[in-house]
Amino acid sequence: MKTLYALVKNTFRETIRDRILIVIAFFGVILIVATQLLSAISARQDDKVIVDLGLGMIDLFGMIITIFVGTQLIFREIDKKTIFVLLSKPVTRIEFLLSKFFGLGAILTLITAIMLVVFIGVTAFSTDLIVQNGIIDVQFVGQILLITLFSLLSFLLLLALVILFSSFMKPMLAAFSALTVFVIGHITDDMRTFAMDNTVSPFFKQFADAIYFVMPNFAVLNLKNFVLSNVFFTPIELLAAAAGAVFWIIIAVTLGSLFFSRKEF
Amino acid sequence: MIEIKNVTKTFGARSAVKNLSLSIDKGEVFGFLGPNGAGKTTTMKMILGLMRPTKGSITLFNEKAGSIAARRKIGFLPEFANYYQHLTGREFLEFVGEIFGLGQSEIDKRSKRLLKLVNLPTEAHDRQVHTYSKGMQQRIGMAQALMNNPDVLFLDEPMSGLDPIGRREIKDIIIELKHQGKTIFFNSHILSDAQEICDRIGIIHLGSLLISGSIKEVVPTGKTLEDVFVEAITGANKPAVAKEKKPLPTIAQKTAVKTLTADKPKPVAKKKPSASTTVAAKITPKPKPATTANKPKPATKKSPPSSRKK
Repeated sequence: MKTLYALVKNTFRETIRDRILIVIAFFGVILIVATQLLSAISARQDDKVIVDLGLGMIDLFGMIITIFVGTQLIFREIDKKTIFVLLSKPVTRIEFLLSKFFGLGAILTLITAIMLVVFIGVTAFSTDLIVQNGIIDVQFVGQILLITLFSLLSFLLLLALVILFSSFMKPMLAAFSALTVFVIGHITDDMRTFAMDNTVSPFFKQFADAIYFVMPNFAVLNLKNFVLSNVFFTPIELLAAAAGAVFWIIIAVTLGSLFFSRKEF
Repeated sequence: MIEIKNVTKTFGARSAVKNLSLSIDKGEVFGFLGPNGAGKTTTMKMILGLMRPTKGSITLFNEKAGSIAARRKIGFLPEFANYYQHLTGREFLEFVGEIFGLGQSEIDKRSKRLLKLVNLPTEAHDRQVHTYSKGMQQRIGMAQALMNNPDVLFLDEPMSGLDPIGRREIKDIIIELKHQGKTIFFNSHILSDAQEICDRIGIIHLGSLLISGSIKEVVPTGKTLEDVFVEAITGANKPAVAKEKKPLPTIAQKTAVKTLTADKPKPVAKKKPSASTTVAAKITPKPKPATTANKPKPATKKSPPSSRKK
């Protein structure tokens, strides 16, 4: 456990000092501020659109960081040969992969929190969505927190996929593969709903079912559209969605460890 | 301490290491020499557990190579590594100490001692590694390899890419460690360094161990290690060319031999036969690479230079 902690701390420290991460996070924050301010001052925007845009920015930059930084995590260790140093020490390959997941996971949590604080701050400053007559709309802030928490969960799931693919692929291919699963994971729900239609062929129904069960479901982690349209979930539904994400994270990291343990350097 | 038994490593149809057997004793400085692409790094990676042998076995301290127990007792300096660029030298050593489960006070004590040993300037201790020169990176690399006070130190081309002063400094560190009784296994193609530092050497070429023995055994009086090396390599190349009637050694072989002979362009063929050429003749792979060192048991008295007596 001490070794894992040391590795996670190192991944966090190395990554947080990386200029690429700082630049992406900086642009993320700037764009959140800009979109919120511009939306607020432009002619009578719908409140939902303003919030949607801000949260969309958090999603977009979280995803960019996960893909761009995540695919470099393992590749860079191999390219710079630091992996030789680590794996010649008492470090198991599973510990190595887990440290990448937890290290970047911690950074994603930190950056998401920063973007959320900026988003809430700017929204409170430029609109009356958060503070009305001097009173904070706790329910609204709670919804925003819940949406962001599930966004973070989807970043972590995407990160697990990035780590899985990086364990045996080059960065570009790993990024492409993870993004493909991410996109499919967003439409499996819709595909299955569409397949319910009687006019659809039985083959497509079976195909949609198969895809639904073998792909992680990213759509259930995207609460933005539901919550902002006043469609609410029961705690059980939320818990099931979160548990599903955790299940897929475990599967992806375990598979990644299996591939990685067979790799030769 | 290190036992390599009949190890072969293949990549597809190509054999990078062929039936290699070797053993290294405690306190020994062993130089594993060979031209580029000879199989030195592959062998070292198999000892470290970064690669698995296709055939054969490797043990360190009677533990399987690559096991956690074995890895606790070794240090490794890779060739041309770029260490964690955003960590300072001190942070890097701290990280390595944490991997070995050392306490903070022990980490501080060892870091201080090692930074002094490798002669890293004080002002560089708290600078990020990406600001270091090549020589400084090599020195911090050496320090990290020693952080766990290893029983065996593996150095992959420790002097390559360094200027003469950097080379001298790294060589001094290795000599200092030798005096401390450390077992050192290092890969190199810088023969003068090997001759100066090593107790024993092994010469590998195209995956086969050609010669193994103490410097005294391998290098006859009046010869240099370079002479022995060039003769061994050219000797190993010749029959292959004649037998196959196919042209020419690969570009890598040519380059290696040219590079190694560049300093002393003596025509090897015109030399009078000597003890070491006899060695080269004996070790030519005809009909089978007669690498006595490849046999796990000690060689007979007939081939003293290539034998290894424990």
